[in-house]
Amino acid sequence: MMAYIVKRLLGAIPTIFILLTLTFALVHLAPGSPLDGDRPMTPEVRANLEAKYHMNEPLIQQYRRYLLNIAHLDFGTSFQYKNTSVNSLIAAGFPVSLTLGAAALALALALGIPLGMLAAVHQNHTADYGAMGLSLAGISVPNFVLGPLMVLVFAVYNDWLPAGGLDGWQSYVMPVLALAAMYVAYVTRLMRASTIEVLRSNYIRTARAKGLSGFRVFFVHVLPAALLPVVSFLGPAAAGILTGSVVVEQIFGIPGLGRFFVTGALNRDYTLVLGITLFYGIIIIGFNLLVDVIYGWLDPRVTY
Amino acid sequence: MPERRLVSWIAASCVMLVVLVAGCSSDRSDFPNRIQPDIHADGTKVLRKGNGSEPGTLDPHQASGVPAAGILQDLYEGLVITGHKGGILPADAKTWEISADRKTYTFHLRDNARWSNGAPVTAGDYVFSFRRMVDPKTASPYADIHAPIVNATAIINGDKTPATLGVKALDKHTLQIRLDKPTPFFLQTLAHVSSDPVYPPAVKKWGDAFTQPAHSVSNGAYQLKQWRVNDKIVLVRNRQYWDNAHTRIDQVEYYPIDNSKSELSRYQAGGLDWTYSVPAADLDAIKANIPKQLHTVPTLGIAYFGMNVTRAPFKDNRKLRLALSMALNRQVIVDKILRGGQIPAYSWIPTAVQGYDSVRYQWADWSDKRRDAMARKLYQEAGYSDQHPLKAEFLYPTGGIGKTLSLVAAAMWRKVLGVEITPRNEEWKVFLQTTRNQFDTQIFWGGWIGDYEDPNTFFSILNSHAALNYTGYHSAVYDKAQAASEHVPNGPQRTALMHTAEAALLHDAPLMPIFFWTNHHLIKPYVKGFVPNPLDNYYSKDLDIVPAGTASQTSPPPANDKQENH
Amino acid sequence: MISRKRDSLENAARGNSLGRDAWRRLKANRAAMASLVLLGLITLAVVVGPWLSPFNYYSQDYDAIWTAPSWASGHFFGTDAVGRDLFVRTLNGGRISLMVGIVTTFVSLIIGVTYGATSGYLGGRTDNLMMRIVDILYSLPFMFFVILLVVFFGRNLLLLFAAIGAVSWLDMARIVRGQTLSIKQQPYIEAARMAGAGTPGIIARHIVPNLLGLVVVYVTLTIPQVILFESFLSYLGLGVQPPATSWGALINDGTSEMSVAPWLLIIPSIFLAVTLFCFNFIGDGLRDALDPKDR
Repeated sequence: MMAYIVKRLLGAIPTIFILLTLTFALVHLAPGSPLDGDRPMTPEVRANLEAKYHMNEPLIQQYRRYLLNIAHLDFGTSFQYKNTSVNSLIAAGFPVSLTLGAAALALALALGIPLGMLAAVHQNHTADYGAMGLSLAGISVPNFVLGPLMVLVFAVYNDWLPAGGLDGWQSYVMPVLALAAMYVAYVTRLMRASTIEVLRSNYIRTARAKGLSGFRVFFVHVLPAALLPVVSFLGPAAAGILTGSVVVEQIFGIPGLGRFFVTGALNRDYTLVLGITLFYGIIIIGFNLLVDVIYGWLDPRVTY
Repeated sequence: MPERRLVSWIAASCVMLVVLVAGCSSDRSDFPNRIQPDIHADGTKVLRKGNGSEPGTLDPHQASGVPAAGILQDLYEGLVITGHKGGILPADAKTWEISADRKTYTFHLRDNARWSNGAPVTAGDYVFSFRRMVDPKTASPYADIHAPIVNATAIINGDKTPATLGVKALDKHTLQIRLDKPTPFFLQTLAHVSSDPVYPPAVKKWGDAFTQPAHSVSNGAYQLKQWRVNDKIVLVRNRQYWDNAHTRIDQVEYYPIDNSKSELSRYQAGGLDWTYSVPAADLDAIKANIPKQLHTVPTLGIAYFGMNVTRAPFKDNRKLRLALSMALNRQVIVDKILRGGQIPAYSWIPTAVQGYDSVRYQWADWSDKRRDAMARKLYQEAGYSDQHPLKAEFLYPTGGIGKTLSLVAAAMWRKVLGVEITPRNEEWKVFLQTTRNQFDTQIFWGGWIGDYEDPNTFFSILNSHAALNYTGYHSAVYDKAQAASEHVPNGPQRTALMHTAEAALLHDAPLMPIFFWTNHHLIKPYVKGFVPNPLDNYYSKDLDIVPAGTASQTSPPPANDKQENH
Repeated sequence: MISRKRDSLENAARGNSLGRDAWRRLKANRAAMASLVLLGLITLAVVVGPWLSPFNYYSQDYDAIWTAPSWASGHFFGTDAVGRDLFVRTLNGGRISLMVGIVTTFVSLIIGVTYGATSGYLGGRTDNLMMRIVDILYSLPFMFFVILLVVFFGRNLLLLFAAIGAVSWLDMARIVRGQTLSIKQQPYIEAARMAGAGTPGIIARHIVPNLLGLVVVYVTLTIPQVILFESFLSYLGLGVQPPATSWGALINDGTSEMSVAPWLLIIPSIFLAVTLFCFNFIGDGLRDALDPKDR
């Protein structure tokens, strides 16, 4: 297992390198320049700015410079937030996104797994329909509708929660709910489907036939197997929740990394976009590794 | 029993409907609006303002955009500021003299003007700041505003060193600025935030990072306390400010909320005292429920559609350009679509500009029928007809009102002339590149907000040399009149020059003015001291927070109000 | 072991009748059938409906701004902020949303299942390499990718499909690969291999059918996701080019006008929700019908 992890970590280095190269190329191929602003600038000023950001050098040299800086963990200065380093922007935005994302993911799992199991065990009974109905509602209301509606109900018509901004834990309640709604639905459905599948499989029938108690069978044999698709889903879900929190961050005025990324992309903020991409890349790769390790732990049949 | 799944379907539908209906159909007359001034137990008064988008920087010489300007005005104070009615008031400069040839300005700084760390504000600080402002290394987006100063243009273009700028400290508190030519609106440009001073030791020590809260030293009524990007910017009272005794509000918080709907919710929930904008769809409900909190401010802004006169089909086809312009029913656009009290535009200079009466299109007052008929006539004379309709592309940037207007215009042109318009939307940065660097446009959405209060802020951008002239308009008559008007003292002669320029512009019609901008703010009743002005410029030091029921403090007008400009 | 082998051989032999069996079982599922009918009706409505209305999706009527739904005015669903008929716009938007949802999901399904099953089944170095590629694609700034595409190649629906499809297959591939890892450990796969079946054959005949349940569930989740994603693109100004519209774009606009004209939000939301429900029920029905263990 240890060897596997080390191997994967070593394997991540070329992955990150390729990611970096591709993003660098994409960013610089995109039309529009980070230097273009509301007001046009004189050629002299433009030349100065290009020199400041080393944009007057050939791309390959810029690339080499960027790699060197990255090696020193220096993501450079943001174009959009002129006097701020990308490192400090990430340091400011990530904890917020992480709190939001982790809470939403935890909520999705905490609600989705029991609901899905409940639905599977009581397949085609009232509990099943209730759980599925709830999950359907979660998928069918886009979070840019759910968000403003919640604000109206909980903040405007009733003074229960703040309407936006970041002021204590209360500020996280609505964003987390809005972000988690869709993922609760996914987890519930995946869990239900896989539990039903496992319950019908031969080895569970065998275990039952051997006279093991229903309780034991369920928690020792059914649950780990049924969790597999959910665990598989965790990697993409975590990535999706992190990047997908953009809309929620916008609606509730939360200063997370997702918003930085979108405004960065729209403003052609090369350094910020590259920095966040790389950061996300590392997190996603790390998380996928974690998921695979958990997967192997849950399913002893998986060999590495 | 699969049909019982229908039950879950129905259940889910009900949940959704209830959520939707709860949100939407709540009694329309019920308009929650919490009145909760943020006054701490120790009496600290906090003003919470919505501020649109996040400013890129709080360096007065590098910042651009309205959100940054609002904050900078509280942090820094220049030689002069704008007054309530658009005039110029003394600020850091107590008095000034203008030489007989109107080319030399001598400013006398206040003895008690101080930086937030207690150091006096000196003429030397201003010299440093102006040089930094025009230095190409600073790359200020507004450097060209200062072109009237001796050598400024040469410095901006890199031909001379910043030290040659015509700004000189005669002594510690006397500053002399020399101009190339007399410039009637020079004082107005000094009220712009790019003319604000920065604290030289901080800039020398920290470089670009001098704007960070830990390093920031400012000379305005407030100083920077906290800056959390995309969350809020907090300013606190600058106790060293020369007029600190008249400052009422202790703390100002700026919230970057780009979605006006979210902003309205936060205002209603009691989390904001002042909004940056108001969503157009909610204007009617607001007017019905809290009319006194809604403030409509006609501003120095124009919305126009530009036509690229360097390319087909608009190249050398004045009649076609005029036909399109005439076929737009501006009254409908303003009354039915925008509904926010905007003013239909038939000229180039907004009505909010004081002291100048625009030349207008004579067809402004015609009946719709007559105007449409004339538009059709011109359209046909330009060589188009129902059989050979004009096909053109309308480019607008993502976000904002361009989308709605392009659709409305397309529908109007189709109806009146039979024109076939393809709306095309581009992301902002790409839009800038398309309109600016490549001139790859036919019709495009344009807007311009004046930087200072003088018609020249509008006239100068259509000069054929101006970088902001995206239409490719090139008229010798216009250029000559515009350039001359920059250096003639205010009076009949200058007005005549400006009229010549505007008439030429309207006749040549490289663009169609659509409407003059109005801004909307919601302001809680306990915020006192708001007086609308066309720059939509407000200094927090002039405001107060007085909860209902408390005795209003004697709130004299700010001391400097007494000296209205000459 | 022997019985298992026979099982799998039987499965293989019955492959041809699998579809017919599934259809029979699906027909017995009334919720799924009701959904199928309803989805058919919606599809019919969005295809035919716009032609039957006297209005079109782009004409504006400044004397009928924000009129509430009514039979008398002919605006069954009311009008929007510039007086366009919401009935026609909802149906027109439906065309685009359904097209985006179905075509894109189909594209991602084909790529994702093939890729994931191959990767998981082959295992070892190949698996590692293939999954690294997925990781890399995952970590790309997707929005940039879309912006680039839209800007370079102009704005059209095909491009939208390509852009969304190019990303949404990643989830599918990962999940399929995860499931394949455990399926390939099943004795009957071993048996098939010993019986001389080639790799493509095993993937196609043994792995993929066993994945179907999961895949179908996932497809029913992907269609709404794609439809919603399209609206997110519209929200960024990169989606459908106005005056054309989609349900997502309509709902997005409706949200900002819900206090003045709630029907602008409610009606497209209902259409979207009902459509998503239908896909879900059909998906569940298909899952039950296709499940080879449920005999």
